[in-house]
Amino acid sequence: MYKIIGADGREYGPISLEQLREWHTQGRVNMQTRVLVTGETNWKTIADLPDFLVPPAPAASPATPTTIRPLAAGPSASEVGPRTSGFAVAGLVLGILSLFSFCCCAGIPFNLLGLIFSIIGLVQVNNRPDLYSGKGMAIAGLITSALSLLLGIGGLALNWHEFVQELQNA
Amino acid sequence: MPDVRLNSSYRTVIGILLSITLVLVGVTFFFFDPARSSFYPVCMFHKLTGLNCPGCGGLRALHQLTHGNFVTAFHYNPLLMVLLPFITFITLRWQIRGREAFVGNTVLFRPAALWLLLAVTLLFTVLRNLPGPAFEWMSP
Repeated sequence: MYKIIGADGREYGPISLEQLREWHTQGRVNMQTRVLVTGETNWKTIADLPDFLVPPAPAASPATPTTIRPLAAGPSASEVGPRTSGFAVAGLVLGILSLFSFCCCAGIPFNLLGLIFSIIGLVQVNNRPDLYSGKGMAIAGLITSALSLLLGIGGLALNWHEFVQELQNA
Repeated sequence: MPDVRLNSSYRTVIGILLSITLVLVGVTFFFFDPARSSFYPVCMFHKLTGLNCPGCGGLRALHQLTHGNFVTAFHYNPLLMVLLPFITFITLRWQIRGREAFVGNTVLFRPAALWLLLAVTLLFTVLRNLPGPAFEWMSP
């Protein structure tokens, strides 16, 4: 049996492998959907499930009715879409962190990492909008990281002489 | 199964490193007051603009916190003091549950929570730089 995390962030299941395959054909889950196999402790993606990739027995698949929905409150196919890009989320988290860390280290390394993660997130969402969402987050991460980088590095550059002197005095 | 062990041992290493860092930083903050010591870094945002960044006063707040002065710490940086319990909770949850800690039905990990944090941070930065007694308690 399997539990999945829908695109809305909620848990669904436990469901059987056949049900999981059916949801996949309906578009309710994709290969990036997070899934927990009953009895295991770690969530993985459906792409990591060895059972899922083995094609079902030919006799079973055409007989499976597609009209039955076992989850009364389950989302419809249109509701389950792409999932938020992890890079976009990390980018925004790092971007916000970089705003707080002006004080400790001119925002470094959070602004540099935030910039990289946000760009990767943005590319991911742009290339595969069917799999990933979170464009707004990636852009917000990009802006906060860039702002922190500009002010942090700019501040360091403008005060470089003083900064080196302080280091020597310490 | 092997990746379960790999995942948790990697988490344990990070956990140990975090604990060591926390103790070292805590001891430093306890004995050296950022308000008086010169070796603490200078805020580049404050240096450039003369304004307080969202993290300004954070080091002094942590110093006060190690001495148990919660009110003074709150005065130096209220937002950081409010966020500290959340940061602790999330870190502990991750230490215990691993990647699973970030999925499921927890409100904290919805995109909306992150947007809220961004909005609160920006609002806090604006408010703490406004003049007048209504806002001055937020600036260090």
